Amino acid sequence: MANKDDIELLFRTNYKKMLALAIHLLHNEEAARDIVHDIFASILSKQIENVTSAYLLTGVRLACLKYIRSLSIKERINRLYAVDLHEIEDEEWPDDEVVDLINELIETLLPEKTKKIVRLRFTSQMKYKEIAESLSISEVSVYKHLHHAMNVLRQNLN
Amino acid sequence: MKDKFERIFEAIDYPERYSEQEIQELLEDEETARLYKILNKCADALSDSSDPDIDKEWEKFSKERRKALTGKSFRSLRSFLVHNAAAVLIAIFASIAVIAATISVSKSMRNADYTSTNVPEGAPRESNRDIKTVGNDSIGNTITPYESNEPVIFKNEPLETIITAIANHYGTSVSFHSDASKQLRLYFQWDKTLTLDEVIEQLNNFEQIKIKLKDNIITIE
Repeated sequence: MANKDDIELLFRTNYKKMLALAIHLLHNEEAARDIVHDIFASILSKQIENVTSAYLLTGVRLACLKYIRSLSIKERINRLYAVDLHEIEDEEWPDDEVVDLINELIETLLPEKTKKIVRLRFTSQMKYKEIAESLSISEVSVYKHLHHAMNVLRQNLN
Repeated sequence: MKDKFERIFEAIDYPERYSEQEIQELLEDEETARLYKILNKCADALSDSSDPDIDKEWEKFSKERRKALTGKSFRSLRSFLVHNAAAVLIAIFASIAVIAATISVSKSMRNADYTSTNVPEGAPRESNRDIKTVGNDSIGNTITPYESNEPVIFKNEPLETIITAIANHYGTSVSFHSDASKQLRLYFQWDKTLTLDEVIEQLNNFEQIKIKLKDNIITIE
């Protein structure tokens, strides 16, 4: 039976990676934290033994998948979740190298204003309307900047 | 006139402006699907946390699970049981008597309404988990949410199932004019606060569906 020290060691060793994965998939730190805590709570309550890092990360992925699957299509696209859920099951994603490359492409290839809009949208998670208001532009302009950014990324990622 | 790219961007932040079918069509178009996919990848890649404070997170977790973590309560319970067997037996019989009395009281007070929430293990605690889902999901849970007024999501369910549920709720009859239409499968969110006419209008937005309401009968072509 796993004791407190075992759980604490597992927690301290794996928490950061588990949280990072959940945030990448759910785009929401609070929701991600809930999932990670629930996984450790589950290990504790079910007295699961021989828990590995791979087991924990798979648990995070499955919990995120289950949550996203419970949402309607409208709810999923509102949060920019993958519509094809096989992409979430793919253990290769998110790939650290690709994540770094995306950041580098944004930094080096996009005009300043477009770069700023991309960061406001995806890192600060502002709505299009909020971005438009903060930059005194129309929402349609926000769409156009993001569309251009996505085209640049797509051309350079393939 | 908005082009399809403007529509997919708009649908992301304002999904209420589009029907499920319109959104499905946008996601099925090769170019808008490609755009959405890269937006999703970008959202995944750029969503990042600040460095978590592991000490603080562990403290929070261990406070919430103190009893389960120390195991002291379990060990002391076991030794207590061993050394106080007679007292324990008396306590057990007394508890059974209390429970029996409680059951007879609660039976007379039982509420006829059945509500349940399908709470996936490990899912985050957000208000949208109040939305009920119909059908078996991958962990084989089934629920019957029709009794409550919360939205019902039909996930790839046959039209026959959907219309039957709706007809029961609004107190109408159903008439299918073809077997093919019965078997049509939809992804549909039923807002039970709407009138029947409004719900039928939403369903008629789906290309292959033609529904009429007359003389309290829902007729599906």
